[in-house]
Amino acid sequence: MCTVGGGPTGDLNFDERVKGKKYRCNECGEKFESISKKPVCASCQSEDVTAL
Amino acid sequence: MIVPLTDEFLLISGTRSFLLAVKANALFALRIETPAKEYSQTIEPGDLIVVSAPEGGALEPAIMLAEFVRTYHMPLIVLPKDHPGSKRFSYLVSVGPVITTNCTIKRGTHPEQHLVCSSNELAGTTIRAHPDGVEITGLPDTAVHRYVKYRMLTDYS
Repeated sequence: MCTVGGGPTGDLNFDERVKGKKYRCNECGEKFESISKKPVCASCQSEDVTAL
Repeated sequence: MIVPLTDEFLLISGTRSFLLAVKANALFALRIETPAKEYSQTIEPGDLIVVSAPEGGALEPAIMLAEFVRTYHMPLIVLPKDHPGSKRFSYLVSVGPVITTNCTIKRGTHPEQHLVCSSNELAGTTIRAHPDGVEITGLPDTAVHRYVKYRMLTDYS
């Protein structure tokens, strides 16, 4: 992941080239899309997630 | 070359540019915000957060950017390709277990998570997370590395 920063920002042509996978957190119900092989809930940081 | 690294900042300097590396100290999901979607990237303890300053500049912004990610888990905001604001930014952030510098990619326009744009003089350097610190390969002879200690002190009184 390479972004440019003044704050942590970037100009990646990201959506066209990165494929995320959707998950639901079994603890808080948050739905999120992860680009990692070991997804963690983006809301509560739980590792108890289910692929959708 | 294995360089011990725990909580310090590791500064890798060329003659006119630098890299700043620090290790993540917790498991968390780093959010990446694009104009169309929100992604998350899992960061594990020991993963690397590397800030590249291809044109050099002050060290403090690089430290702050690294801490934005490591300590405050601030999301990365991705601008659309060719956004006019992208040229304003002179520091680049890359996060993951292995990070390689490259000077031939267009700044901020590649999604490969293991690459970070750098100056020509530091290109080809690979920094890999290691249980004892970091493993650095491909570092040019002209580059030097040293630790940077930095503490933010806030006095509300």
